[in-house]
Amino acid sequence: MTAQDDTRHSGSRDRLARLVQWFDTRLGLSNPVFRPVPQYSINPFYWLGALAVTAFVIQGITGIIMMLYYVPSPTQAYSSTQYIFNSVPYGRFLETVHLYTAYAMIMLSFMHMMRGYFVSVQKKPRELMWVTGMLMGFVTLGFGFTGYLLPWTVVSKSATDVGISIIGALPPGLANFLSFLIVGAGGDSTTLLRFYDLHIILLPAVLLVLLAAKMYMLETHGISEPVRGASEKKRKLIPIFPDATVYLLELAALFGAGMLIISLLFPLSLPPQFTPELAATYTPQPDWYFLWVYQIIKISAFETAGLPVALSVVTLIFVIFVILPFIDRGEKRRFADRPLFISLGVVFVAELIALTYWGLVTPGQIISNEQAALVLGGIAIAVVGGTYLMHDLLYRRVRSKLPMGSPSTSLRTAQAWTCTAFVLLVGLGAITIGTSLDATVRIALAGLTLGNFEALLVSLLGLGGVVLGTIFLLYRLDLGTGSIKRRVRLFELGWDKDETL
Amino acid sequence: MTPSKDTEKTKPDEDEEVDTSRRDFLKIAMTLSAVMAFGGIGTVLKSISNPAPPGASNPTTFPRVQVSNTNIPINSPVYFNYPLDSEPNFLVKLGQKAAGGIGPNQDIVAFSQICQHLGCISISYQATGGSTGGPVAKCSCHGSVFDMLQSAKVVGGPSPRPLPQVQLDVDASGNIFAKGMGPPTIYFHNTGSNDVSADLQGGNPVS
Amino acid sequence: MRLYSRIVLLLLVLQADVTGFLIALSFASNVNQNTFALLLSVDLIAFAMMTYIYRTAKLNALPNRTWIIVGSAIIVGIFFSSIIFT
Repeated sequence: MTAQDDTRHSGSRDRLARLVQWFDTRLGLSNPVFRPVPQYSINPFYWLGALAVTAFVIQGITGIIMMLYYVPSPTQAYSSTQYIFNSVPYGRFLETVHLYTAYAMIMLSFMHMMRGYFVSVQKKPRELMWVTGMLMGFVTLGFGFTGYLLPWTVVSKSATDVGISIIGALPPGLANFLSFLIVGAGGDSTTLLRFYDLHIILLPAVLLVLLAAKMYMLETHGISEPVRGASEKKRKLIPIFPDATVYLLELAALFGAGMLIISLLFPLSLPPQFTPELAATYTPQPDWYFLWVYQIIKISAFETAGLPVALSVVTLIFVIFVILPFIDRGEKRRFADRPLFISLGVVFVAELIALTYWGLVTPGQIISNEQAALVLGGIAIAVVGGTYLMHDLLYRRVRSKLPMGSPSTSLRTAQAWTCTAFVLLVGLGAITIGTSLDATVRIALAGLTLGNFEALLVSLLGLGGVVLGTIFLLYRLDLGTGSIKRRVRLFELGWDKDETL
Repeated sequence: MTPSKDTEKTKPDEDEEVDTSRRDFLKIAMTLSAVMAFGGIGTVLKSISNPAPPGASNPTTFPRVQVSNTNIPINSPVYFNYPLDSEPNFLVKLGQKAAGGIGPNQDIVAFSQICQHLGCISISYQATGGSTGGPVAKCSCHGSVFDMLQSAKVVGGPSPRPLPQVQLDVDASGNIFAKGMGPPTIYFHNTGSNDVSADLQGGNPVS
Repeated sequence: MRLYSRIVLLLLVLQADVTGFLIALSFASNVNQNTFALLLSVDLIAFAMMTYIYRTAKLNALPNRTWIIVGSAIIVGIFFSSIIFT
């Protein structure tokens, strides 16, 4: 573009500037109410919560369109859902996107929570943000629970019936309140109508109120600092509009495209309608995000002691998470300084993965006490041991030496790969340890059969793979001999080549 | 220091004029892009057009239409659309008794021509194409093979379900009528379900 | 930077085409539902690439070549996969 071009276009540019100015005066876009964000937060990990809200918006759009056609009565629920599938323009697409985005919302909220846990955002002064966030997590699970019933299929009604009876086993006061909220006077049509109203009005309203509270607190405190500190360049503030908004739109667009592609690759078909005869042939199983609760309840110790005991355990886990900021009162935030809580966090994720997978493959089967103790205890010990080992290797030698400046990108890349590999190993490790122990116990109890032996062999092979992967990872991390870290350290921090660590 | 991998740094452009116009260009481009992205999303609102409300004029009964006659030659397929006017089927006289067959020798059968694997409309009848020389229908897309004597049961290839069988009727003068569809549903009509009323949705029934 | 201006223009044209298709798409059959999903995902990915270029250009830096290639490859891949889905 030359100077001549500019004079030729300057008339339209003036008009453009005036148009922008018109909006700016009225919307205050150049001087927004929301505080600017630091450069280091332009990173997907900081926006997991925002992506969960994006998922919620997608749910709202698809849900409201479907709401025009769905009828919440037991006789018409299934046929109206079928109608949406077959006759409404883009109906099948709406249903599929709605389901997968629901799963994405739950998964994103969980990742958001665990990410916050691991970088210690819940320390002072953000404790109440954590509590609000946990409540929002419960509401999200409530969305899943209430929405699951609405199509009135064999799968969903059976699972929800079990869920409702489990709620009835809570302590009397709470059980009565929740039962009244959910079931009302009793009977299928009241329950369905209640679930529907909860799903489309009460839960969204509660979620929005909690979201407003969380956003308010976010504005008060700002984005939390990265654990390792940040350089001046990274602390530079970026205005919310248009830069941070544009970044959010970018992430949201990629998320939307991802959901669309997943909906294409895994199209849904409606399970058969709920009839009592069909339900009798079917073993109920909850949706995947409740499989871990399901698995805990199936342990025989809880079967004999009664449902309230099992529920107390699950409730205790939830309560611990809610009041976590008041349990973990230390001031330290760096990974190096929190070995206990980091290990506990990793164990929690590993156990969750193992329980979910285990629940998936053993529908309706009671788990013996020994098996449960061995599998869950085994995973806990293995993962805690592994984490402590890695933590020691990583930080014992480094704690005194690592400066507080921001690491360079090649170190960052190495760390990113290491983190990904570690997460994968934890998940796979939990599953393979669990299945190995499970197969062992099964052989011990039921004797050696071909099926048992095969299961043991496969899981041991998987476990071997995980162990090899862990050894490789530890080798990479060992500062004395690991190639990537050592090279980066030499280059970045100017360490002496001959220095032994 | 090795350069950061996120963005490669260049010197800020010295020429102010060019810089501003590039900025404006990018801003306009961004806005247009956002408008089109949101517009694209907005087209989902087509769902709120007014198709027939449920239960009103949705056909729930299969039409009964004449498609052929019993005096057709053996192994010579007849093609017809049923139950929607966009969905092909084929009818063939096998010359031997088959499951679901009608006619004096119970050997006339008809099936959907849309493969249950991925919806290819390339099912062709082969009189002796089966592994034991029997009549089969083969899909040329990915090689699914359906046994004509056993209600299009899958005997080869990747199809997970048999072909939907057209229910036929014959009157006194040998005219053959199509009067319904057996499960599974025709591909794309709630694929995988056994509720054949879904076959009537989404198009114009033949008459 | 010239190169990226051209990429931006290409993306805009692509988006205009895709959005035009989406508006014109009749919503009757299931085939068109898959087309809708494919086209809309192309639209969104093009938008994401556009915002990425805009964001990095604001910092007076060049966008990372890799992401542009990855994004374009994904769009091409989606167009190819429309053979399977429609």
